[in-house]
Amino acid sequence: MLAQAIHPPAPPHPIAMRSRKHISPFNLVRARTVDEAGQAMAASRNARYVAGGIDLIDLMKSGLEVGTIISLDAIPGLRGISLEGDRLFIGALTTHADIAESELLHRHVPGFREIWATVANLRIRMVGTFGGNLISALPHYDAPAACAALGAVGRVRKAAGEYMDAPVTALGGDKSALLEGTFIDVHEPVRLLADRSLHPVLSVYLAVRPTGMRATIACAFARPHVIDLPLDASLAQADVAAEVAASAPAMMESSIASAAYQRRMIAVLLKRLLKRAAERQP
Amino acid sequence: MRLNVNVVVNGRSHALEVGAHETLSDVLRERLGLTGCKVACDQSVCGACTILVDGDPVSACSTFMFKVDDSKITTVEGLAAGGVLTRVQEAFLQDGAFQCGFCTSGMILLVTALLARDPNPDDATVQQWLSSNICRCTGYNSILAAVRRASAGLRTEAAA
Ligand SMILES: Cc1cc2nc3c(=O)[nH]c(=O)nc-3n(C[C@H](O)[C@H](O)[C@H](O)COP(=O)(O)OP(=O)(O)OC[C@H]3O[C@@H](n4cnc5c(N)ncnc54)[C@H](O)[C@@H]3O)c2cc1C
Ligand code: FES
Ligand code: FES
Repeated sequence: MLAQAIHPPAPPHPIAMRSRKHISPFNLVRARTVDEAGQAMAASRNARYVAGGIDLIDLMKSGLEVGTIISLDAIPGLRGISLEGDRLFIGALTTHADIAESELLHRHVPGFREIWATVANLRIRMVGTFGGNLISALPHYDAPAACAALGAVGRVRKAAGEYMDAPVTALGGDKSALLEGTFIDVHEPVRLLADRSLHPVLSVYLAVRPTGMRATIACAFARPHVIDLPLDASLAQADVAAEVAASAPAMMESSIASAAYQRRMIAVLLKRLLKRAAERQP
Repeated sequence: MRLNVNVVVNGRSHALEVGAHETLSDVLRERLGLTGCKVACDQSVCGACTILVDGDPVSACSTFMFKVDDSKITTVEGLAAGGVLTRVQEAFLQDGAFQCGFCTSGMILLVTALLARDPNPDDATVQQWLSSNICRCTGYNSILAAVRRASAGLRTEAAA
């Protein structure tokens, strides 16, 4: 009795509470076109699109209730990578594994394919989509960081039926907008470098073009922190990296790494990337 | 909402009526009795529930049943034909590539998928694939040895 009074029973751990048995029933719509999907979204209360389903199923196991799930699987043209003029298009349903194997992407954005072969695990890469990753946009997700470095834009269909191009860092807020895919400007050569050795504590991306470089820092911020750098930044690597780290905004609270450690590591990882850029290493 | 889903599981066709919210792991384990599909983390991390969907390794715990309509599914129960173990299963036995065995069905299916794509993978590729699934017992060395043994066996078979 006394022991109970001193040590009241601990509340159930959140992980113990998540279970596939908690997934509540929902209606399913299998859309055949983007417009049909958009119309189903407009006609339903509390609806969500689903691509690979990895994030959605996880949220639902933790209690998220969804009235209607609109499956995008049967819509043609949303999966795959193609060249449209001088822009590369990555369809929203393109899986991480598709990206890790794409010859076209490798030709136009060297480095991308190699980085993507290390994202998540193989089972997730087989099913999880680039679009789902961009819409979920959790701080440690790689697609927003890579796309922000490359200055990519997302093509979305808004619930009212109009289409618009939006910067990738603005995606995800409007759950009724459907992402068709992402465009990357490849009119000039561009290569992508990343240091994910501290992921999910910190990851740093660097896109290198003949006209300049753009770094993004992910995991430590709600949205990737973007910094444009002149090409000669790769000559004074340590100074530039230290300056970027010192001027980065406040970090999010993290239970696994202190803000001071993350800020220090921004300098270390960015310096490594600038060195690789200067030496033209992959 | 109830749905009709057609799947071929281990070579047998099934026309199933399922709830839209049901997961593949639950249907395999509770409807079809295929308990070789283990569930541990239930969130796509550990790989205990790995099964093959059209030859690709997938986490059954994180897959809605409606996603696999019209697919071919392989679980560990579907590997041995007429009681004869596959090369991968035989290699796991010979190299003692398990202790508690909880990860083993997922590991065997993962390795089966790898060797179907590349019968002679280099060590880096094997390590990259195996790093997807968690084994808390073996330290992976015996699993690596089993992959090498199965791969050598497949090459000998192909040459014969
Ligand atoms: C163990 C584990 C490790 C992981 N490691 C990494 C990692 O290292 N790096 C990383 O970046 N990610 C990682 N992830 C996350 C993983 O990449 C994502 O779960 C996956 O990409 C989500 O894609 P999906 O198709 O399954 O999304 P879904 O679950 O289908 O959808 C996700 C969200 O996006 C919405 N949505 C999906 N598609 C569209 C669309 N076309 N238009 C509008 N809305 C849409 C859905 O409604 C939902 O809200 C990891 C996940 C797990 C479980
Ligand atoms: S139980 Fe499915 S991945 Fe762990
Ligand atoms: S044999 Fe026990 S987890 Fe692998």
